[in-house]
Amino acid sequence: MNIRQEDDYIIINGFKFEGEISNERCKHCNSQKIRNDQYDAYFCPSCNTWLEEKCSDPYCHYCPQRPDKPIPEQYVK
Amino acid sequence: MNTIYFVRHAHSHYTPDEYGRPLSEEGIAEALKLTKVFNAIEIHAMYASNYQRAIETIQPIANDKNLPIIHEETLNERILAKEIIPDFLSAIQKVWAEPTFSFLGGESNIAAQNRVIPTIEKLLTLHKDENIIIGTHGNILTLLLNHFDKQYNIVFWHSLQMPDIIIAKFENNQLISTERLTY
Repeated sequence: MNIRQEDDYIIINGFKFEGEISNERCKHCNSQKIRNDQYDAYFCPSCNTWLEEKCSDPYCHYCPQRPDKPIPEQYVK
Repeated sequence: MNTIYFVRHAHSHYTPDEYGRPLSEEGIAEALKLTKVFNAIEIHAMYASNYQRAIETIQPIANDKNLPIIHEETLNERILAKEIIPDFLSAIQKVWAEPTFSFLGGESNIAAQNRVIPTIEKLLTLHKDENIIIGTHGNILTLLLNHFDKQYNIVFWHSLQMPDIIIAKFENNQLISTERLTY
């Protein structure tokens, strides 16, 4: 897996989104967390899991549209 | 203590495309051998320049260890000049003899160090007491080591192989030792 930051964008194996590489680490695998601005949430690229629960607000601007996996299957390699 | 394994890229046929120049067949074979070299070494994170040859060199290790490679533009090879310089070796001697000198569109030794050292310091802070791999290039590797210890100079640059592995140990952001990993 290759991760690149270009200005305000993160590109993971060709999957591009607004975000940033955090200096904080995943407690499971120690990889650096990545923030996806579109969903206002951090995830671990190695575990391909979100690192925070969705909120319970049905009118939340971010959480209801968040996909199950942060990186789509076709970009995981 | 931090340990950085600096991996100078494997063989690549020269083209002016610095970003996209891939490893040669020989380079690919050498890169594959590196997985055995690092097999018993615990690695916590991997970084590389944005150049394909640096990424491809450490990609087999990353695949083997299931670690992502984070690309850092600031780890890219030093830019010698905008245009191709016919007498490359003389040009390299010139920039090492005059650390603030730069060719048109290129970086001086000092400018290249000012670009790469903050990234090295950031990684040393982020990976305290850890082992990391940085996939990099001969000139910028020599320049970043030269920032910490002046014995790393043009003679050291000449001695680097493709690929090459330099184990650098740091304590409190200071370089305390280096060793070439032979295999």
